[in-house]
Amino acid sequence: MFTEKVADGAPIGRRVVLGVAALGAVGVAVGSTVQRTLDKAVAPLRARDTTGLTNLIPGDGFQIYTVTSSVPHLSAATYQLKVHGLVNEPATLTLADLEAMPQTKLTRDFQCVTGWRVGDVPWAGVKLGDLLDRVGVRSAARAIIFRSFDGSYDESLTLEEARRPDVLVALRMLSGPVSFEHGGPVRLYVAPMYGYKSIKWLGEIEVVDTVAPGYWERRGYDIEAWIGKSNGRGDKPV
Amino acid sequence: MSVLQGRQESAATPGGEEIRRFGPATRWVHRATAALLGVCLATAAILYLPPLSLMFGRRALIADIHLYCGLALPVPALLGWLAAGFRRDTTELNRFVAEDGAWLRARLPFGSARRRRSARLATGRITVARPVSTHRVGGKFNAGQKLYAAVVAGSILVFLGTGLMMYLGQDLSIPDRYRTGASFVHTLLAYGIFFAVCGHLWMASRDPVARAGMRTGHVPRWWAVSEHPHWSALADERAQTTAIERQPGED
Repeated sequence: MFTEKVADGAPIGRRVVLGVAALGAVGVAVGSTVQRTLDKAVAPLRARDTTGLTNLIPGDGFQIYTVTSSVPHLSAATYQLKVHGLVNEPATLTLADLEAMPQTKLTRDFQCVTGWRVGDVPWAGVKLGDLLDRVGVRSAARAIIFRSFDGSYDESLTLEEARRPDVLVALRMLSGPVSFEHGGPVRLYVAPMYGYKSIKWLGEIEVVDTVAPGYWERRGYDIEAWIGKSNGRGDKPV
Repeated sequence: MSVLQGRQESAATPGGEEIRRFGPATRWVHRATAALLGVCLATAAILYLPPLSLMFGRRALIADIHLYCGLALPVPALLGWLAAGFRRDTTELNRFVAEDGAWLRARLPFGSARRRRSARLATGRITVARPVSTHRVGGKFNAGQKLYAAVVAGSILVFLGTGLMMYLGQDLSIPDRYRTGASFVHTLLAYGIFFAVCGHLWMASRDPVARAGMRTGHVPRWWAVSEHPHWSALADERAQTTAIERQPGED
């Protein structure tokens, strides 16, 4: 019944809609610069934050990605790492076994494939190469598959990648034992690759003869996850 | 006091003096958009806030729900466009008239001088020139409601654009710079829309009649007179009332 009546006034609503859209476009164009400035300004706060509140600020904070519905909490007493496959001496290692091995310390960035990066994270643990030497890798071996102890996540590296000195079975992170949310008590840290390679809640290492696509790789991410040279991204290498 | 009593009485009168406020299309679009936006906000919180991420896990599933609800977000409004009633309501939301300017000036902190001017406007001591027409579409919404609708509509477009940039960034080889920018805008706007929706819900929580208007499509006349005095439906009704039902002693 109103259709034949003329609407008066100015079309401000439409202008607001277009204005918000335009602001969004400007934001996309300059957002990266703003984000970098914000990250620098907030970095000292993040470093000192004990409340986790700085995670509310968009940018370079750790975000917690977990693909399973629940992860068992394992303590130092209950944790076990199974190492098997194409090895001479399959082993099931406790946290104490891992702590007794030579420890390597690294301070390196953590870069997520979704864009966020946490700078200068202190890591410490056993070099994966040392662990492989301990169990003895057979000549047929070409790759390593990692599985989380919640049973949901898996990842893999070639044997050559696994022997790099910047690939750790990490026991410590951020100047303390690896916390539960970061994948504790034991996780992997693959410094030169995107975060999805650094499997959390590491429970099993299997030496195999071929690389298998991991959890996110079956969902589209690159198997070779070099930072800055994969997944269509050009981030600064770690 | 007596006004308030009058209001309560007429509100309690079943079927008495009801005005149609929203047709089925508008109510359906409102409900569907609200549900989708609600799911988007909830899944966003799970994806973004570490304690919730840890509590819910299942990242791939949550991300899929977020993606598909986000893609569906503009669909109800687009479907609503097929209905004349919804188009009429969006026309009303789009058009700002002199009363909207006065409404905004009286509420937003634009400076005390302008507020004083708008106060004089409200008391009728000065008038704003506008085309005189007896049949206007308008007055159904106040300027705040119009602004809110426009901001939400614009935000949905921005969420859609930046979300697609994040999702398709790898396939389309979008430079990191713009992917980071899109991610930044998406997150910041999510905070903004969260607080806007909270404000919307808070206001709705304080006005059961407004909620009933969205639920049933009808509002009592006294509410319309007090909340939307310039609503053209009131003028139509007034004309009818004057012609047919005017009784002695009603004033």
